[in-house]
Amino acid sequence: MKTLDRSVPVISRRAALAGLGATALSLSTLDAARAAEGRLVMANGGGKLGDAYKIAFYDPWSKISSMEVVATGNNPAQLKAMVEQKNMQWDLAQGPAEGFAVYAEQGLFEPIDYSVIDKSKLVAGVAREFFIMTDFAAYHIAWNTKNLKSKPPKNWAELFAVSGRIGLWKRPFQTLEVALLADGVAPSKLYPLDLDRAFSVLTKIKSKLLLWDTGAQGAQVLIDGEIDAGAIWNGRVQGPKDQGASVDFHFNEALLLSDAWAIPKGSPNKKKAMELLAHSLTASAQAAFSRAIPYGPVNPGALALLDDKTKAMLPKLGGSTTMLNVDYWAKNLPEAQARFDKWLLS
Amino acid sequence: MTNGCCPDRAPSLTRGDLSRHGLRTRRRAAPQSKYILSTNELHPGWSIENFYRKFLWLPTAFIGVFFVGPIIAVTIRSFFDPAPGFGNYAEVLFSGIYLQVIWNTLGTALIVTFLCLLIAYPLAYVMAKAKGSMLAVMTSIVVVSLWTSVVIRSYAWMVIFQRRGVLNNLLTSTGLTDGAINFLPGAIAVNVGMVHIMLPFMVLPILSNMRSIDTSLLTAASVMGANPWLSFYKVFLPLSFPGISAGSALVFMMSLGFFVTPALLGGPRHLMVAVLIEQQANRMLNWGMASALATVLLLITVVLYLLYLRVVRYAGGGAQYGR
Repeated sequence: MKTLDRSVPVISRRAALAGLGATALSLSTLDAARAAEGRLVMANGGGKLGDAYKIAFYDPWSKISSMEVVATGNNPAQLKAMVEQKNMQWDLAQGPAEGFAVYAEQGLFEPIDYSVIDKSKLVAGVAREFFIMTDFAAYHIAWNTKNLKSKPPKNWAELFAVSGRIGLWKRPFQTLEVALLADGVAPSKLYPLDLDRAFSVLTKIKSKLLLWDTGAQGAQVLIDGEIDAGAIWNGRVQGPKDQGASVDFHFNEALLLSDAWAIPKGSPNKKKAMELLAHSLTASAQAAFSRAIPYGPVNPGALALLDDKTKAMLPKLGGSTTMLNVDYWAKNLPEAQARFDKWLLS
Repeated sequence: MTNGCCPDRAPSLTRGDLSRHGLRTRRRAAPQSKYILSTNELHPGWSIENFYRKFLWLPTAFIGVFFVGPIIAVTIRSFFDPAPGFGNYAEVLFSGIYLQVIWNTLGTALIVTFLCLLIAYPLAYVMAKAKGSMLAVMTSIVVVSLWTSVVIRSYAWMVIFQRRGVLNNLLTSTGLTDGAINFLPGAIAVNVGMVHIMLPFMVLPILSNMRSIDTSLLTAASVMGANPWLSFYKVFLPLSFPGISAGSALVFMMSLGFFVTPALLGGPRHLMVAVLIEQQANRMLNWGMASALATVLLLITVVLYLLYLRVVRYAGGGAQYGR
């Protein structure tokens, strides 16, 4: 750019175009360097989850494969743009399973190679055609211990009956499920969701609802006592609770959900990405992950490697918990989102 | 007006600037050549107007490639994704929520603009009167707030407005209210947060305008018997209209695209168009719908801008001649 600036007085249209072309070229070669041999680009959401991935999955795998894992942001719009322009910069991507189910429908992922990944070692239902769920987190009941000194809500029905303020996620998925559970729908009969019923339940408590937008915000309003009780993800409140924040929670009737990993369409290092995915699903890697962040393993073999204290913190399948149905959301998200927006404005 | 108008409008503006510029320099250069050596004679093939025109190629190319091009692409996409036709626009117009959200957005932007003007005008007035280091300190206070990210500032307002926040502690400890007030989410929190973020964009244009007002005109007014209020109302205020209109336009247009602050501080009533565009573009990956919404927002902004130009030409003309 420097030479270009100095030549400004004699710059012609051709020179300007050439300069722009050169800039574009140098930018694209920079990008090419990023996805080069010896590096694997992994798009993830960062934060505490990203840290756990690094400790449990990336660093150990780097030692075996001698490939560096470079983490980058996982903006879905970027994924779609790169697929459309056939210029994929990511080798592997992580995101919420209900989102990935939608993107799989849109053809943004490569099929998973099950000759590399042993499906039989995993919990049934987590290994899909285009993505694999890699953990179990919980969307569960939590409350501020200063605001609710006695009688914390034991189940969703009691949470929705709390006289103070209640916090829920400002999204149709997860929030509509717990509304129906609060209204007494049996977990086995939850899907397909009865949207009319779910919205009428939410409308009844709308005046005391505080709908949060991000997990950080949801945890903050709970810990600061802006709300009295609400739903939140366990990864957001376990740490603050251990450090003595005025927040407590339980997993009774919790909704279990997952992060998913997938190989973006056109991934430059498809084979290596599949290997990292396979490595991350081994019992030892899954156990290391659950030690780093309180999310349950999808490889049941990992549980044998964990001590009781760690296991007690993990959301568990079965019992009173319900698993979020990603197939339902893959098909019904647009309609549910439109109705959710309409409900917000009503 | 057709929807294709906006991308056409933008390049024609730059083209207009180019030709206007060429016209002015040509007129000025012609009579000169008779008496003095023109640059053409000193450096054959080189002239100031050619120089200026070449100077404009880079910004024009930049705007063309990185602004006009993508906007045209977005507009085209709104008609062809997922299927060719007006499906996305029918959805925007007839599904109900989008029109309501656009209406909310316009209302919020209008309130924020009005509140900004109310606060910024006296502030800029005092700043315009200040001199030396006092002015530097006041200007830096206004400008420094621009250095902090909008997200952080919105979170800061959350901390102030929450139930156990600074404001509620003050209200309850002084006995003004019995219990904590739920400011979050709500209109007060959103408007305060947005006004705080937008204030510099209102203060700075008004300030620069006020500082260019010739104070001898005010002296003349008082010499001729006007009291301070009358000389302000009849002389100063009309002369400051260009600053008011520039600041208002800036704040209003920027508020239309606001995203973070209403999402964090606002309730359902503050669902803004930008939030829905983000939802469609970034989460649903329905880019046809996102494009249609963006095009509608752009169209509204352009129409309002054209209306604004008409109003300002009238008001500005009056101010310039001190009517």
